[in-house]
Amino acid sequence: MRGELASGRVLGLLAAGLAGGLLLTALHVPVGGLLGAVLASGIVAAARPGPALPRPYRVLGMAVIGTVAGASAAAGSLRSLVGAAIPLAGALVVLVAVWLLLTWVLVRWFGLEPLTALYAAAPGGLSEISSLAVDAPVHTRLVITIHLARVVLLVVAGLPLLVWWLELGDG
Amino acid sequence: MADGLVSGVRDAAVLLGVGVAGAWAGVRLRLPFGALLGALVAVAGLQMVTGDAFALHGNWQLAAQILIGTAVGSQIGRGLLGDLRATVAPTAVAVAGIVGTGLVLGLALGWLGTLDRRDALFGLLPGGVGEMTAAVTALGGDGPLVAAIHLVRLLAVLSLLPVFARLLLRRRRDHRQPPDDDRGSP
Repeated sequence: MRGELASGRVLGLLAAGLAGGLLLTALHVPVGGLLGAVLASGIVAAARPGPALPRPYRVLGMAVIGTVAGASAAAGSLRSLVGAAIPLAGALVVLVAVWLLLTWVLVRWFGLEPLTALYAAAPGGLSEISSLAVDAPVHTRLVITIHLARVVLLVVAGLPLLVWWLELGDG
Repeated sequence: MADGLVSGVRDAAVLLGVGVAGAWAGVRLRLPFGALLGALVAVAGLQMVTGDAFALHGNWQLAAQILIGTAVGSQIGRGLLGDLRATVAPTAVAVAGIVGTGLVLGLALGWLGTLDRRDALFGLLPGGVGEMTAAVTALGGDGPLVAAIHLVRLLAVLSLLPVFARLLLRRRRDHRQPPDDDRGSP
């Protein structure tokens, strides 16, 4: 396990992520640390196939971002959530309806097996849905591919566009 | 300056210590996004009890972004690219549908004024919770609120998924079963 955490490949990925993250941050790209790390480590991973970064590193990243977010938490966050409870509930209902519609589309238009389509269209977390898909009678690889593509696309393409649009509105 | 450095190191040690302990508890308790949620709740609790006595330097946020970003990027490989090529159509439809819905809902809630539009968008866009929380925190948004919205979404989906799955499996079983009047007939 220790060997896996500090193998040449892992160190290479971390170095690439660090370099990419620092570069885009220095260039004042919004959320540059995240974007730069994804792009740089993605290039390394695509160029030299091999295992992804071991899970403990992602868990550490999640722990640190949880710490950062918690350090800036205020009672206002909870008030905002409570205040938006009804519209958020409405949004969830719409999300579930679209999930079921997408499942139907994937089955009818693309011939996916219904249970696979249900898992593929589920608007849940990548880790959670992937873990459930491994134990379910579904086309696991397809489900994981779709959810991974969603996260990568959002981070690489969606975030910069969103940040640009938000800054346009603020300006 | 030396005092500032010492207090900065002290604050980081306290916050990260509590955060890591909270993350460990979250993972052990198998909470959704256990590490993030555990750390967030533990540190937020500490700050509320001490009246925001501690502060964390922005470099830690950058470190978290780099770790999370590297974890995401490292999964992009020839395997993923190959799988995408083979399933591009259903993948495109599923991704467009899920992301598009989140975008429209986030815009709607922001327009309604229910939430700050930045928080609404990052809260409802179905990206990874770590990634969305890291991004909105970097942009000065409400990280804990965004994490909470993602948590609510995830809990709803994880609760409904087995229900829908059971219904589909039952439907599949019923379709395969011959009608009662055909069974055993000579």
